[in-house]
Amino acid sequence: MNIKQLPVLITLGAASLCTAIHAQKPVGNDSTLIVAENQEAEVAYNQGNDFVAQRNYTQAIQSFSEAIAVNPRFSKAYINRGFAKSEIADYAGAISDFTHAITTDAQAAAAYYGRGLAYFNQGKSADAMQDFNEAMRKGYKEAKVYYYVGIAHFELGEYEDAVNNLTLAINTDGNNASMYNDRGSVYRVLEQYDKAIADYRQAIRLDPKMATAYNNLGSVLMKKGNTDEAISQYGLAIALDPQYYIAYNNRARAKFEKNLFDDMISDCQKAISIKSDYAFAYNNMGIAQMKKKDYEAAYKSFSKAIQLNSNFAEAYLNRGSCAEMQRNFDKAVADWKKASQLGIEKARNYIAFYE
Amino acid sequence: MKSIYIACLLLIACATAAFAQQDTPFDKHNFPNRKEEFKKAKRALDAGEAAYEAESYHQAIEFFSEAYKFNPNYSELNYKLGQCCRHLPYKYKCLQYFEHAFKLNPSVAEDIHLMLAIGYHYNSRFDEAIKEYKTYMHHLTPADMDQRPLIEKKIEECNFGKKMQAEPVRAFIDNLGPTINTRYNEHSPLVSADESLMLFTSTRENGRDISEEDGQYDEDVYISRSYSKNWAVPKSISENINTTDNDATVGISPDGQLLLVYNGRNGGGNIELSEQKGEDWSSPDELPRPINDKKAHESSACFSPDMRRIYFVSDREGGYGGTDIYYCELNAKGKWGPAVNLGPVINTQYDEESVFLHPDGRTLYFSSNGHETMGGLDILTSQLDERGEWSTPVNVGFPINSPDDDLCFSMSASGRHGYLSSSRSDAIGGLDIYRITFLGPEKPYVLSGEDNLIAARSKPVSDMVMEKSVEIKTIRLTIVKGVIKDAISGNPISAKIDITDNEKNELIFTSQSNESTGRFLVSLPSGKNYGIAVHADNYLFHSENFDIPAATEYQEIEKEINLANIKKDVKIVLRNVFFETGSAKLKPTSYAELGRLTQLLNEIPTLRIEISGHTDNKGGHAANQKLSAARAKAVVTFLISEGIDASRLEHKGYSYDQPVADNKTAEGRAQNRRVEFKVLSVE
Repeated sequence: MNIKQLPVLITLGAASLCTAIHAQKPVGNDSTLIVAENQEAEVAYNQGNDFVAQRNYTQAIQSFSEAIAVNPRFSKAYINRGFAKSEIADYAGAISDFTHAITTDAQAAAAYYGRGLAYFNQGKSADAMQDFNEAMRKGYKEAKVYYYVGIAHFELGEYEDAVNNLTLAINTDGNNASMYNDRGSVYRVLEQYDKAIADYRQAIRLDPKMATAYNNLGSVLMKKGNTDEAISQYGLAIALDPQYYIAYNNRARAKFEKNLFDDMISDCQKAISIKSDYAFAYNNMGIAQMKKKDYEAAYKSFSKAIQLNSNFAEAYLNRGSCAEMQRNFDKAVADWKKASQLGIEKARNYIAFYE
Repeated sequence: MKSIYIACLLLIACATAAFAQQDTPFDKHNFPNRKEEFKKAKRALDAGEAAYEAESYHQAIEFFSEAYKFNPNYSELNYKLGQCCRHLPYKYKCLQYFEHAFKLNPSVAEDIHLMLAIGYHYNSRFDEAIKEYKTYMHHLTPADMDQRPLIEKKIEECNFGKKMQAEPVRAFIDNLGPTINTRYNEHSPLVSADESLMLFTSTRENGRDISEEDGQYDEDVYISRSYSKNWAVPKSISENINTTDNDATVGISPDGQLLLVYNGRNGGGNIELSEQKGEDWSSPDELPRPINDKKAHESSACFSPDMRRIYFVSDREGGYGGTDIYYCELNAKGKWGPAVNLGPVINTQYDEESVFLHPDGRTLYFSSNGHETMGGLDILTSQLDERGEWSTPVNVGFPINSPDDDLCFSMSASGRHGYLSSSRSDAIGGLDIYRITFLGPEKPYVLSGEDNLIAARSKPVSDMVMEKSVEIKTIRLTIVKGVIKDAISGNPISAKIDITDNEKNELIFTSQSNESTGRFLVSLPSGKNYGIAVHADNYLFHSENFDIPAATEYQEIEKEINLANIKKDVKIVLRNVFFETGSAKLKPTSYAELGRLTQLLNEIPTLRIEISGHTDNKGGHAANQKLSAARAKAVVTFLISEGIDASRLEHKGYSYDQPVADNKTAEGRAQNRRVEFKVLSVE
């Protein structure tokens, strides 16, 4: 048997395929097949979809590009290439594709949604929200769109709107732990700590392995003054994710409240062992060392934090206070001045005493 | 058993007593082997006792210390050493002796609990001090009940000390070191507003006789200048000021040009004024009445910044008790006006001492044991308001103040440094001068942390709302084309081609090969299992199977089909006969093909055939033999059920003995798995 596979189209006779199937006739020596309609773009497009299904986004983008080369007005190819580009974090390219799709098909809700997501991933909350809202106007009213709109509102400091949209999302999909976690975070910013705690706890019920929810719950419990339970929640977050350096650092902060300075240093060191450039942990470790009156070590820790982040205002402020305890008042004032320049107003009071 | 247990307990108790320190009086019988040493130590003890009785504690402590080296386990000696310390500047040292005395003999003195309380108090061990004060107070006899208010005040001081200790003032307290301090007393530091000059009083060696009473030389005034943030070696200020009497610093004008000195020459002590003349100072002139009162003792004074008011301390009559703070103002004639008591806000029934007015002219510092203090004289501060009234004095706090006397506070104009005299654990000797470095406001630590507030921000959001694939109308089909020939001659044959949908068991369409060329072409859209049967008159039919999944892209299949004549031993593969996997059960998709075979047998009644089953070489031969035979039989059974006489049919299984393709490939094995029929006869 001789099987010959053709990668691209051949041409069929003038009659349509269906007709050909139902009325086949004997053919002669000169029998040829002629295609009425060229679907080269569609084939490449479908091939792109197949590559997406295989998570082979680079190949998918190539196929979509072939489809677009054949048919520059192939809106769906632009949309899918946009999504594929988003998957490889080429958000600018994705936005360009979605915009192109919108140009050719203004009703393409998926294009607005996709562009909204790309903006969202770029941190452009206002642009993202505008596109999400447009996608919803075009009929794409999924829980996740409410969710992202809620987050965009949150990031724009529009907390009440954020709560409203996240609540809509939760009402549409009540089993999404992330939605509860994120609404809890909005409540936290609104200082509605009891509501925040309730949401974080619900997130944990829905996803008992959601380490971030435990961490966030710990931080709100801290704000409520429940340091012991906060330490416990941070511990659970760490147990679920032993590489969760943020939770180690936060537990160190909680231990500061309990005057457990050795434990605090240990947690900071653990955070640093996971993320060697974690300036926050160096800053907090410096504070623990100051509390232990080990000013030399504290000064080094603050200096390391500053080395990692030259705009770390709090570390300058703390290092200044450390220098003061080392009686190096000139250095103290210099650091406080830097902290003041970086926006910490109370540093001015510190400076005023020495000038 | 019980008696043995008690005996053991007694033994342990005796052993413990033997090793415990016992009260050991200075009795020669207690030191039979150290006679000479004992004699020497006893003499020191006796000398100490004499000095102690004379209240010459600095001498007593020297002798007692010598005796103590010989025998530290005498409760009375420990008690008296504690008392000596309590009366000397380093009061805090008394505790170690009182504790040891009490341990050796809990009844060493009636007031041992009071002394322990005082010892703990001086050492800032406030809780233990309170406990001992209360113990002492509970054992007061009716005759001693007048002590009760004093003890209650001490307990208040301890409670206040605890409070102050819990909220320490942010300051470094540094001993000025051996450049300024000596083993003698240094006190009453006066610092010019710009801290370039310090004057202070010292009882250090001055070439005159030491006082047997207190072991100090008479007080003289010394001066030191600052250089590179340090103080230079001090020197005696001037022979005009330092005399054979006690001459002490009292106050200094903000510009450092006028010095108020205390001179103990006259009566209870008066305040005098000296003026800087070039590098020297003038002989002090006694300040006139009413500043100095011949019947009273004036000990401390300072000027207001405008030099028009002088504040001073006096125990003159008419005060609130003890020493009080007064002021006098210069009148229009340049004379000092009447002495005015600062009133009950500042002055108490106890002592107010060491007055100092900050160069700002509004902030008064003084020492007192009458306000809230943590023990002895503490330094307090009060602000003069616009109406000329003093605010309620506030204790400047721990560690500036200590449970012992804290005196002679002064402060630089900048407010960065203060100076005081005190005797603390790091004192070089007696009273020392300390510098306070104020650290300004409390500086809370700024911790840093973060949370993953938004779950969607923990990593980039990935959500693909993909547009679906589109239908490809033109290419999803299989073109089967080729030529149909006579198997022997190779001549083209015009044959009929039946296309069957095996799933539906129905004929989809029929095609015909070209009569002259034998060529044919059929289009098979993807998504079906096709059976193709090619038959021509006088030829056995030929079957092909094409299973074409829906996703199959366009393909062309070229095929040459050779039709065989109906004659003995010709074999035809039935490509469209299907069985359940591993079973001999026919699938319904086989019925079309078997229908064609049935039709052939009906059309040629003389035709006898053998149905054979064949397998690939997967699995054992015997199992395949059994399966192949069963499948052949199943086909025969089907044909019989369709009305074919069983005598025309034979069946046989060949296992994998007659392959038609290579078993090494999947495609070959598929071809080998087959059912064939063979013509046995046609006559």
